[in-house]
Amino acid sequence: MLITLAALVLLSLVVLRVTNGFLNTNNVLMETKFGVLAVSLATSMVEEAMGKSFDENTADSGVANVYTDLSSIGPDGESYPNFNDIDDFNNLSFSTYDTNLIQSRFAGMFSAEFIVKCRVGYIDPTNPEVYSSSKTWHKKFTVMVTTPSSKDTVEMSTIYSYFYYR
Amino acid sequence: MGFSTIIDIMGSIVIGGILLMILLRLNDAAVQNSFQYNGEVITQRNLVEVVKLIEHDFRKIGFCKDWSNFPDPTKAILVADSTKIIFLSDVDSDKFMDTVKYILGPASELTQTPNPNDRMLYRVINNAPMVGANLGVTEFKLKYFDPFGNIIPLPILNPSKIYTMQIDLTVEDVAAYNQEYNRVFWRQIRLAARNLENR
Repeated sequence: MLITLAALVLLSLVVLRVTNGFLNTNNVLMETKFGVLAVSLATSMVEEAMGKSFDENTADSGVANVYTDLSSIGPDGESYPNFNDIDDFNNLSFSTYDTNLIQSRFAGMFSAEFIVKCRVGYIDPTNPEVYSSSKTWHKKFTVMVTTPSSKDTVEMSTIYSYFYYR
Repeated sequence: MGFSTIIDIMGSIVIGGILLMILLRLNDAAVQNSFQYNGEVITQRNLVEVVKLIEHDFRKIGFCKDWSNFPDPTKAILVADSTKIIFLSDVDSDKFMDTVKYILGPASELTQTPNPNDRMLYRVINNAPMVGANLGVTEFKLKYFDPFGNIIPLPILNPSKIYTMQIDLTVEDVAAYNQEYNRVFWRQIRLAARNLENR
């Protein structure tokens, strides 16, 4: 009787161990799935931002003086998704479950919730990792995508420079 | 042989049978999970390969190494449909525009695979024959938007109005254990052409 009980206990441990292995593998696969979705969302945000003007003052005409002609970072009265320049995205944060963003194509986009946070700032091209306090012809757009369903954070950056040939 | 011995043997048979059933179930679960994990990895890898190809080509819509050969990128998209797009791009950077077609084939083309929903996603450059590899694509859906974010209804008669496009891609296993196909979804909203105009 005791031997049978011991065998049952051993078998139960084996079953638990194997099931634990299955669950761990499932978690890893789900993490990669969420990673793919987060990357696609981050890339979409980068694409959306890159489609905007460099600055509020360059939306309709060109500018020449970097210190006096460019506006400060941040929205100029607009609200997402009706931004017109890239720095409007600074400090933008939303959830894909946010029903207030029903006009956005990202709202309710996925089966899992994703939190999107954006940061925009001027950068010095000699040190692009650090945001610059002074105005330059280069702005760095960074987007971070997190999800409660995953431990990872996807972060993407791009630099948008201003060129004017007309 | 006494009565207690018979009880012992019967009990052993019952418990042995239960143990055997547990082991068989465990083995079945291990086999099923092994199939599903491998299938999932293959599916995700296939998705990444298709996405890499799409991103490579789509970001070059309207691109020409010699811009004077194609000065107006707004004319780059020739045909825009929900499962088909034809555009101009200098994919091989030889300064001459190529015609790039992405066409989703019908599910009836791949009846030899166990998955009834997989289709061929053709990538055709210029007049090359339509060839492709079955990577388990079950959905390749395109939506087009104007600069104000409004959906442009199909059929699109004037593709130069397209500002952004939404690409939905779903890849499934070509074959799966117990016909439980793994599914990976990818969606991207991207600019139709980066160099539409000076911003």
